Amino acid sequence: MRNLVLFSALVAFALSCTPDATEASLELQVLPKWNGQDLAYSSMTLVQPETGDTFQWERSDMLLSEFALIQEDGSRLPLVDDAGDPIYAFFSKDKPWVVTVPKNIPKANYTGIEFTVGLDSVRNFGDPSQWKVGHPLNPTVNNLHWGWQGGYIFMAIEGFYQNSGAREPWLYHIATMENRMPVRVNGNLDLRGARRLVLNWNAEKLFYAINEVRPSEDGAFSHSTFDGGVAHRISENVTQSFSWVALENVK
Amino acid sequence: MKYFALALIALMAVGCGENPPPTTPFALNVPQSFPPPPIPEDNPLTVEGVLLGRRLFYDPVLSRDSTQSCGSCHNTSFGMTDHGLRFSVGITGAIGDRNSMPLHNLAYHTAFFWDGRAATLREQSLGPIENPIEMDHSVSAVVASLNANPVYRELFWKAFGIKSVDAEHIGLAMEQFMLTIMSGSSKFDRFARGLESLTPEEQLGMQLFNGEANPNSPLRGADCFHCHGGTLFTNHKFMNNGLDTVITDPGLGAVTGNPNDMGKFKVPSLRNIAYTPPYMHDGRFQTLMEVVDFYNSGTHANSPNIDPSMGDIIRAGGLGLNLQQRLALVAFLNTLTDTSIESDTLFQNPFN
Repeated sequence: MRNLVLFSALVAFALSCTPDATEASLELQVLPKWNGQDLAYSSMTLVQPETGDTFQWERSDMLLSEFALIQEDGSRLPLVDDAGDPIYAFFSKDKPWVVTVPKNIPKANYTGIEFTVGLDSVRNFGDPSQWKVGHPLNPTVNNLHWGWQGGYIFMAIEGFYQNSGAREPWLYHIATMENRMPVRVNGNLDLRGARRLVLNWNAEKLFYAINEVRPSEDGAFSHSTFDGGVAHRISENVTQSFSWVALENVK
Repeated sequence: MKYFALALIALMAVGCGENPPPTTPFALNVPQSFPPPPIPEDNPLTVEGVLLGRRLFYDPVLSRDSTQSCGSCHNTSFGMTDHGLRFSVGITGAIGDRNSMPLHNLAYHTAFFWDGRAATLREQSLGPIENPIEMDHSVSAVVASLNANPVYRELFWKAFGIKSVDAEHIGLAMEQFMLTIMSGSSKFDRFARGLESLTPEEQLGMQLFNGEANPNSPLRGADCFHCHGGTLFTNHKFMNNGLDTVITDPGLGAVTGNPNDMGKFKVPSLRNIAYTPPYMHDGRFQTLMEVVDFYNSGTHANSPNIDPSMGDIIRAGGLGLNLQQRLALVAFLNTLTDTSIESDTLFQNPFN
């Protein structure tokens, strides 16, 4: 009898530890690419297929926010962390581009994912010292804060390009609220368990998607002001630069 | 019963050992507007650890002939640099080849030395001990000296609960001390908090500092903020700012072996810059005006691996600032001086 009671107690304890079966987790993995190949840094070998311009890539930093899943009725389901706070991400050259959403997503079929490259105005102009150590918006983590005047650079991309045979630098720092970059990637997102969604970031599209951008003609430098609109044109291209690769089961 | 007896004996044996004394958490004074500093989780700041680290920092026992300490080349009256010297002189009279770096707000740094060859402060702090052109000693000999000293044995016991001094804990103690050297009480900081005003010249300098070197901008700036922006006045990156057409010091490239890193050096914070002449990794510029003049008209577009962010400046053949603007820029840089490093007793030599 005593053994039976002990066994029942163990079973009850084990059941109490079973995760909520109604919720799923998601890992978002983004792979930096150029023409379908891994984005190679520090090499003047990247040829933009539409314009024929040749690039060397040195820096790709970006801040992402406003992650959400698209539900079958078309509504947005904002993704949150363990504490119920919005999820932010900082992608940079030397680290894997991964965003982990804890097991708090209602199990269901979704039709796509949305996020923004950039921040809302509250976060953009808020006190940057508020973010804890290691947080993507901590300026010592991302080095994308403009300084005491406030505001972040949403995306910083830099490198060199061939200009009539000469190696010249290019630099685009995309900032200001007008240049927030909303991204939506559609696909059959069956989230009835732990899943990994793999996306590509197709860097070549920054120079040819909605707009054609050629450093030699449109300007090779921008900090998003007094640039003839080149930063805005690139920001529009960024919205088209992410593509679906695969949805994988995670054990 | 036998196991119970054994357990009891083991418990008694443990109980008879001397427990390390409790340590006191060190309350780090983080300047307002600074982000929370990432203190290493495996080396929390304690009063005992910080004070031990300070003692080691200023103790010449770290050098082979006991004539030089870390403080010899990192003086509080010079923003923790070496008395305005271009290169420091080691115990043998050997002259170094890089300018002594300022030591403040190091908690935010992720690589140390001009070339980034140390990933942590604990690693960095042991480097000069064995450098033949600096202290020319060996860490093992320092460990032996400290173990022979009852005062140090007691201090290490109190700070880390270890009976025998070792190299790891020497590094950890000095790391703790250097992490406490925070600097954020300059005139600029008081201005940013609304407590003090800048002069019209300093305001012009600030405007230029934070303005783009964009030829299309109605007010063309000096573009300093791209590399020296943010609360800490550095982007913590390694860059080539176009000093030379031929690289003679590979900098980061010698550490990584990557040809694309040749000629890149750590971007220093501009806080306390007026305290720390001469400037650049090799101390080639004696004054801030010389530095401004370099960016104004002396950059080399064909410098290997020059950073793309120098592009706007180089395309225009330099900043093109007039004398009044250059003087204003220097005036603003002078507002970044924080005299508390010089006056804070916590940072001073305990042997004095």
